This record gives sequence, C-alpha cells and structure tokens, in this order.
Amino acid sequence: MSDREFQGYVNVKQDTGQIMFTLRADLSSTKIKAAMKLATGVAVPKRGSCQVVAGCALAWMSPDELLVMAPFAQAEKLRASLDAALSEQHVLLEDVSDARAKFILSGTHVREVLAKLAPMDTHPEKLPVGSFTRTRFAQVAGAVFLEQDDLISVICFRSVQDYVYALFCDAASYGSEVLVRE
Amino acid sequence: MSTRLANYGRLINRAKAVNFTFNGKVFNGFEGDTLAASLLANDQMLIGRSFKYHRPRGVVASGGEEPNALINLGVEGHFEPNARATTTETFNGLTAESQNHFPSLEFDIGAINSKLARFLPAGFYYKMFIHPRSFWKHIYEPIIRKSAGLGKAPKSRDADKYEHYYHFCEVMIVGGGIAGLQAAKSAAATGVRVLLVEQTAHWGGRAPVDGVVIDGMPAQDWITVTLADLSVCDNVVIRNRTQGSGVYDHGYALAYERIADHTPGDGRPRHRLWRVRCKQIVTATGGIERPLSFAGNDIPGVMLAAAVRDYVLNYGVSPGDRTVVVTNNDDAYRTALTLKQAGLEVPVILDARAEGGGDLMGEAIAAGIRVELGRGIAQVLGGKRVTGLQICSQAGEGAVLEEIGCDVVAMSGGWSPVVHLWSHCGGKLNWDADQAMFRPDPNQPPLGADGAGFVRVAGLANGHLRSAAIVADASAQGFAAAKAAGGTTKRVVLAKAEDFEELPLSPVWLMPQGASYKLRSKAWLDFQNDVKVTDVQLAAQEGFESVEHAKRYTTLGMATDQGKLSNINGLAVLSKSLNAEIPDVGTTTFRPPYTAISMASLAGEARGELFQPIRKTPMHDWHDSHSAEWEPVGGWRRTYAYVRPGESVDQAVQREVTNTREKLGLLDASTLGKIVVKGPDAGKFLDMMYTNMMSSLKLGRCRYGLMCSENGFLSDDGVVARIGDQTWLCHTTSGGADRIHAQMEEWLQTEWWDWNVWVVNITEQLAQVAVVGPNARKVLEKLGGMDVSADALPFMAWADGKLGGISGRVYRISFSGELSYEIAIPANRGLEFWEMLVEAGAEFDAMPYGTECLHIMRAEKGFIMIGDETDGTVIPQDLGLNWAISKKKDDFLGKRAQERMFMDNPDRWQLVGLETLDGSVLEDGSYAIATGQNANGQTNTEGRVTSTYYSPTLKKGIAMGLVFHGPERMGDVLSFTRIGAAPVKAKIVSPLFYDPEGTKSNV
Repeated sequence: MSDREFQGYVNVKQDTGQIMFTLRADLSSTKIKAAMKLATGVAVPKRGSCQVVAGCALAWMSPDELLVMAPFAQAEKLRASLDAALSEQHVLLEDVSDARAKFILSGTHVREVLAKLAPMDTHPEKLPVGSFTRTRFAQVAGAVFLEQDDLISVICFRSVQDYVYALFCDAASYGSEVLVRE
Repeated sequence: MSTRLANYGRLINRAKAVNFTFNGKVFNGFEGDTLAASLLANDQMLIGRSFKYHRPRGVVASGGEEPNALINLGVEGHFEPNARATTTETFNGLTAESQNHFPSLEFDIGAINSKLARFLPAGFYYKMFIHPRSFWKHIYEPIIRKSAGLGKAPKSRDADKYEHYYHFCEVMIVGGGIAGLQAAKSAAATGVRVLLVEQTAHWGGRAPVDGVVIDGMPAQDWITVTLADLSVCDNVVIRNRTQGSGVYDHGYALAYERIADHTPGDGRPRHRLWRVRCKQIVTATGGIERPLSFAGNDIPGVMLAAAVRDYVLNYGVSPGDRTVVVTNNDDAYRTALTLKQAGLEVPVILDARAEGGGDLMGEAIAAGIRVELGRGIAQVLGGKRVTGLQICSQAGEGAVLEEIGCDVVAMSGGWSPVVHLWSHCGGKLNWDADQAMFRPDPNQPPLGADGAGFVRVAGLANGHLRSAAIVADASAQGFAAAKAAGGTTKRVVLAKAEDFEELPLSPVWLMPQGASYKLRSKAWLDFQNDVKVTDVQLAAQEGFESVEHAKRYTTLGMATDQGKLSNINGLAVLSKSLNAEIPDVGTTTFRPPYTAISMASLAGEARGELFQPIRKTPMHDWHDSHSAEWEPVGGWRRTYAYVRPGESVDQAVQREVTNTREKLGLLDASTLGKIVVKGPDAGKFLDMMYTNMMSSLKLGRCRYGLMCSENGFLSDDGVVARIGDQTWLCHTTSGGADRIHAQMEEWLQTEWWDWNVWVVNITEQLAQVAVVGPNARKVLEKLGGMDVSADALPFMAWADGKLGGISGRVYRISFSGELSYEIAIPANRGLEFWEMLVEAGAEFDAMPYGTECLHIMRAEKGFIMIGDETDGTVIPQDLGLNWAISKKKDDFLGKRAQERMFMDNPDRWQLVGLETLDGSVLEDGSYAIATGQNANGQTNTEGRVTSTYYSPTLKKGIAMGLVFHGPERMGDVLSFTRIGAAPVKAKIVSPLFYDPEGTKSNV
C-alpha cells in the first residue's frame, strides 16, 4: 500500500488511512441496528447507501453484511465498542483493513471516469450522493461510494490494487474525456 | 476523368488543404473530404483489385456500404487493412495503399484469374481441391493462402489507446439523418433520457443533398436548428462519428465511436466502444441504394447514382465529365439534374420503365436531358475505366441499339431499407412487392424480457421513401419508444417535410431481362468477392436452394462489406432461378456489427499491463526483485523458484529443496485461502462441508480436512484451526479460496438457511509465511516474542503471539515433512516480517523457496496435491485417505455419492508411489500399459502417473500414480508410456518416499 496519486482530468489518489471491518449480521434485526448505532453512532444504512457520522461510515453490502469504515486513529476504540455492543449477538466481525485498497477519485468528471470501467448507471438521479454500490472495475470486483458529486471512493481487494490504480489512471488520462454531460 | 469542381462541396473546407499519399504519390485534398472524395478529386478512380479475379475496382458508393474502395491505411502501429476510403476522413499526412495486387495496382499478374473466370465458377474451390486429399495441405492450401486476402495483416503492436464507456438511457436512436433527429426530438420532449448516434461526422444524412424542405426550411437549416435544440436538452446526448453497431438482448447495444481516426496521435483514444443499456431503441438507419445487374457493372466509373450526386454536392467532386444515368426509379433523376446543374454532361438517362417516371423526369426533360424509356445497358465498355456503353431494350436479350461514350455510369436499382439493427436481435421482415424491398414487420419486433418489442424503426429504414412520410414516421416512432420507456408527456412533436412527387419503381433484377449467358457472366452481384449472376444461377442449378447454402457456395455477401449492395440482388436472382417468390427464399441472417469495427475497441483498456489483473501478495515486489520465476496460481503470481545467477530453473529448485531439508526455507504462503466460519451451528456446518469431523476439534488445535462435491469427488483440502468456542478458520488451496467460499455461502443461503453460521473470506487480510526446516525454530526464537518450543506449541497446534514485534498467529503444521511453522500476520506487515525473517535467518542459511520446491517436498512425503492427484474424477478413497473420512458422522457432502457401487469399488485405481528401475523421471500423465486391447483397438491401461519429480533428496525420480489394485501390488513392475520413446519400467512402492515415520516434523 502506498500513497500514490495521479493527476488526469480526474485525480486518482490512494487512501491508506482507513480501517475497515466486515460485519456479517442480520441487518433487519432491531437488536443489531441498536447495537451498531450504540457502537458507532451511525444508523444502519438502507440498501445501496452509506451513512457517515464523524468520520465513521457504515456501508450496506447485502441484507446481512455491512462494511464499517473509520480513520485509523479510531481503530482500537471502535473495535472495542463494536465487540462490546455485539457480544451477545450472533455476528461475525472481521478486520479487513489490510485486505482492501481504497482510492479517491476527485474532479468534475468522476462519474464519467467511473462509467468507463464499471457497468453502472452513474447519472446523478440514479446514483445520488450517498450511494454505495458493489460492482466491478473492468475485470475485478469492487465497491463505489459517492461521497460528493465530485468525489468518489472506490474499494477493491488489496491483491489487485496495482491493476485497479492503473485502470483508473488510464481512464482518467487527459485526452480521453467523454464529456457526455459538460 | 474525375476532378474537383470549382463550386459545391458543402462538407469541405476549401480554406484548409491537406496532403496525403496514395501508393507513395502525394495528393491534395480538403478538410472534410472522405478519402474516396480526395482520390476522385485527383482522378484516382482505380483504387484496388477484387478478391478472386483481381479485377480493377473503383469507388462505387459514398458510405459504409462501399465494397470496392478498400485500402491499407496508415503505417506501423497505426496500420489498418481493409479500411473503407468512403468512410475514412482525409487528414494531413494520411498514407494509404491499394490492396490485393502484385506487382502494382495498374499492372497485376493475378488479373489473369479474370481471363480464366469461366474456369473458376462458384464452387470451383470445393470441387477442385478436394482430391487427392494429401494435396490440400502441401500444395493447394499454401497457394490459395498466398493468392487470397485483401489487406495485409498488421505486423506492429497497435500504438493507439482504446476504451469502453457504459451508457444508460431510456431511448437510444441510431442514425442522425432527418428521421433520427426528428425521432430524438420527439422522444426527448417526453423527458426520458435519449442517446442519438450518427456514424458519420455530419448530421442530417442525405436530405440536404436531395433538396428536402422541412417546416418550410431547406433541410440543412432545419438540421442546424434541430441540432441546436437537442444540444441544450439536459436529457439528450448526441454523438457523431459513432455508429450504432449492434443490438443485443435486453436492450443492450454497442456503439462504436471513432474519436481520433482523423486526428491520429493527438493523445485521444482512437476508438471508444459505448456499451449502452436502454429500454427502447429506434433505428433510423436510412437506406442503401441497390446496383443494377448488367454486363460490365463492375468497371471503375460505374457508381451508385446517389453516390455520384453526393460527391458533387458534398465534396465538390465530379466523378466524370459524361455520366449516363441508368435507373428503374425516379430518385436517380436527381443525379442527372445535379450533374446538369453543375455544368457536366448527361448524354442520356436510361429508364428501364417503359412508362417512365413522374415530376423529376419532367424536370430532366425540361433541363434538356435526353430520356430513353424502356431502355437499359447491354454492356459497359472499358477496362480500368468506363469508356462508354451499349444501349439495349430492357425487354430484350441485349441487342445493341446504340453505343454511347461516357466515363461514368450512375446506376440505381431502387432503395433497400437498412434493416440490419432491427434484425440483429430477431426482428422479422416483410417483403413489400410494390416498393421491391424488405421492410420491418412491426408485428414481429425483437422482444425484450417482458415479451414486448424493444426496437422500433423510423423513416427510410422503415420502408418510407418520401420525406413527408419519413418525418411523420420518425415523430411517431420516437414518441412511441419514449412512451414505452416511461416517458410521461403527451405532446407529440411534429414536423412537415416536402419533396418531389415520385412514381413507383419497377423491379429490375437483370438488365436486360433476357440477358444472354455471356452478358450475365459479366454482370456482377458481389463486387468484392467476384460473384456474378451466373454464379448464383449455377448454385441454384446445383441444388443450393437455401439462401444460406447458396451464400456459402458462391461467397455472395461474405466479403468485408457483408453484402450490403449484393444481398437483395443476389436473392432476387436466386429466387428467379428457383422459380420462387423473393419472400419465400428469405434473407440471410443479419449479424452485428453493422460494419467491421476494430478488434481493439472490443478489447478496450484490456491490453498491456491491463490485459489481465494479476493478484499480488504483500511480498510480490520482493520476489520480483529477487529473480523470481513466476507461476500463475488462481489469478495470483507465485514464485516457482528464485533463480540465482548461473543457475537453471531446475538447479534453483533442487538447491531450494536441499537447503530447506537440511537447513531453512522460507515460503510466501499468503495466497492460501483463509475463511472464518462462526456461529452456534458452525461445527455442524463444517461437519457437513468436510469429510472428517471438525466439530470435535479442540480449541488451539489444527486438523487436516478434505472437502468433496455432492458427487463425492475430492474438491479441496486444507488445515482447519479451531480459533474460538464457535469459530473455526478454514484454510483452502490457493486456487480454491473463492470457489470454496462461494460454495459455503451457497449451502448456507439455499439449503441450510436456518442454520446460524456466518462466513467471511479473509484470504487477503493476512500474509502467511512458512518457515520450514531443521533451523525453523531457531530463527523464530531469534526473532523472539513467544514460546515456539515443542512443548508450548506441539505439532498440529497453533498459538497467537508476537514475533519480532509483529502480532500474528503461528501454526505448527507441515506439508514438507520437516519441522515447520506457518505464521499469519496482517498483510500490511507481511513484507516487513518476511524481510525480518530473511535477515534473521541468514545465520541459519535461510533461503526463500518457490512452489516447485513445495511440490517436490510434498511428493517426497506422499502428500497429495489438489489438481495433480485429483482431476474431478477422483474420490478420497482412491487416494488412501480413508482415515480422513469420518465413519461416525451421519452425513457430509459426498457421502451418499461415495456409497454408490462404482465409487465403493476395489477395482478403482488407487494411489501408490512409483519408482523407475533406472532412476529416471516418469513422464507426467503417462499410462501404465496392460495386456490386450480395448474394443476400439487401443492398448489397455492399468494406471497413470499423477505427479512426478526428480527428488534431490533421494537423488532419483519419484512419482505418484493411480494404479489398478495398486496398494495390493507393492513391488510389481509396470511399463509406463513415454512420448516418442520406448516404455519405461517402474516399480510400485509406498508413496511415503521420505521419512515415513514422520520423525523429522515432530521435533
């Protein structure tokens, strides 16, 4: 993992400052919802979205999986409070910080660069700010979080981070603008 | 001769001259020209040679339907064969070469084929080259290969960049003529998202050329206004130089954007493939003019009538001074009028219809043009260029009434709607006898998932020939598509168009209708593949009644233009020969793409380093910088061996084995699958997934386990560790991690959905290092931090702790037969830990080792390898793994299958060790030869080698194999096959070649 960065018509930057936990649990359970809110201060998000409060994010992965993200500084405290809040529940919480890589795309045309690699409808009405979606980037699996209209984070597996970084640099290179919506 | 006119040229910029070369000669053109226009402006009518007879070929059309004007375009990394001069925009520095000739375009030896044409009819190759059999490979094929083909194959790596773009909309409209523009306007007004694509650089299609008036404006003004209106709509994306190439199921379509073909080297991608998902597609793809079939219709200078006026009006290029127009419809009169207006000669219009045409004919007569009714062409005169023609009566057999000098023949056999995209996904056609055309059958559209049609056709493509009907149809189709796609507004946007009244055409499939064999054998249907009227007639005569068979027998429509000009004419000739109606013969299948698109655009970004994702472990770069020889495993790259200077790969492998056995080896085992299973029912679940008992595993301990498919076959193996009261960690093979994880999820989601078990794949969270060899404990003790002694950490136990300051989990497991630890640490610290081990291990002679060393050490111990000893047909019992199959459990995946009589059967081949008598290495996969032959006359076999190596430890070849009654035949000697050599003898032995008591690992 490194803090590499590429400036094209969209900026591509690796973000190594995040911890991530995978939580497998029944998200429809009120006990789980309450426990997560207690532990993180964040409400369990609806399908296809991500909730962020004070840097801690809960992202919807499936009806029984959440991705918990937070800055490194919060790691130990967060883990402890999650363990405490969920101790009585049937859940599986695993640290996957090292298993994932995260890149930030920023710039006016982030949606367009994403649409070169992911088979997604990136129109603002179909993919509003706050959306969190699992998809693929060319040949590998990944996830997308629409943080702002001009800022997207993409998450992939660590083993293919070089590939994904190269993909986005290639897609963001000057001269390859599609400019469907100027 | 053809030349540039002083006037006209609505698409060119005369202020911007460009230079290009054709066959090395420098020519001039203007910005906005197509290469075909530029070549004609320089009197280069001869552009190439045909495929079979090497006949001279010139420009015949002005668009994507062009069969003749194909060129080798560009050089080296920008080289492309079979580029269409009619769709290539001329730019400064363009280089083009003609194709399929030797030694030169003007003088071509291959043209001798043309003289031999009567000996080379349809099916000639099939009949000629079938006997004798052996001649095909050595004599016929090499000669045919040399003489066949048009453009050259590219030799350099493609220097350009390509990409994909996923686009979503409700309505996609293909074609930017007046129909497409109007349909877009109509659809956009409902508020749905619209994508409008046009394959050329220009909007409006041929309406401006044909003098159409829309909403009281000349077509060009209306186009400009409409484009401006559309471009300010937020819900509309418009894209020129983008061809709607293919329509597929579920509203999927491909569009092919040629971004930088005309500006090479400007840093932009050359092509972009739009992968469109939409709800409705409107194809407004216009029509293609049909040639007429008369003798000599392939001589350069014979062109489509509409193309002739395109060159005059669009590019200010005159294809010739004297043009004879020959037609069966009114539209071609426009060409005569255009030429006359441009001050060029039109000596005569030959109208095959005895009754002639409507208002346009009147205009032509008023302009002083001679019009001959009921007349046709007996034969065109000329070789590399038209010099004149012979007029005959269309009703007759070709008796010459008059000879006339000319250098261009503008022919029109009527218009065929471009129904390709409608047909790609199953849209059916109707034969419209009045207009002599196939047009879309609105009652049989391509169907979407909901059973409703998802493609509509608008304008000329829908069979409407007149502007008023075209624009009205476009409004209706655009609106209907938008409504079907969820549009809400009820307002239909209308437009009114007008042009000349026209009389209907009279179908002419052969000119003259009673043409003699001699004339018919010079009447071309497929200009590129040299298929003539007589060839199709011969096919019919020889019994090729199906249009698909006749196509393949004659190669009609099989050239790079896919028969855009020839299909309907060929079909008509075939139907006439079969004495059947055209709709009864039917069309061949229209398949995407509409015209050839670049292979590179299909690949998109997937080339070079992006060709395929390579999974890298945290230590990948270290291996790379330590001369790793790579091996692909489950998407990963693993080190096969670390090859030192002066070593062969084999020598490196042997050094690694010996060093690990005698001292200390380090293996990057990070790729190993790691799946956490947790929950009150986790033990029960694992007892089902594995053949042996996992619920009884004690906390802190490890157990080797096998997984089978529900058919009983061995699928994966690995060590399971109990890491909590309700939690297990399952290790899988490197290649099996994703598959096993998916299999666990599948069973939990579909079969045992009520069991309380969660599963997470944490393979990539952890780096894993195997520390192997007699010095393994010493190096870990040197790192320090936890007790790794035999008492604290016995064989098949694990413990959490710190080593060298890094937290991890240490497993006392061994796949090598040596004292061995596997240490899992967070992936982000994997490299640091690895380097620490390398450094600390130096005094204990630590060496990293690769997968081949791992395999050899496993084989020396008789440990099976998934993928070597197993191949999807092997059950654990075949491998002597009965000890790992629980007898106590009620059930596990595969148990039922293994009780079937052909599974529970002592005659199944069983695992044994094999040693050659001479110490050599058996060939991988070789068979043990049994006596006698089977029913097919093949030698019987009684076993096969599953893995085989040279053992540096034992200094001889060792192997494992599956042998009939193997374990009962210890000491028997079998014969094993070798490729290209006599069989070799090998003895059946125990597969435990090394340290059978296991004392070395348990210290």
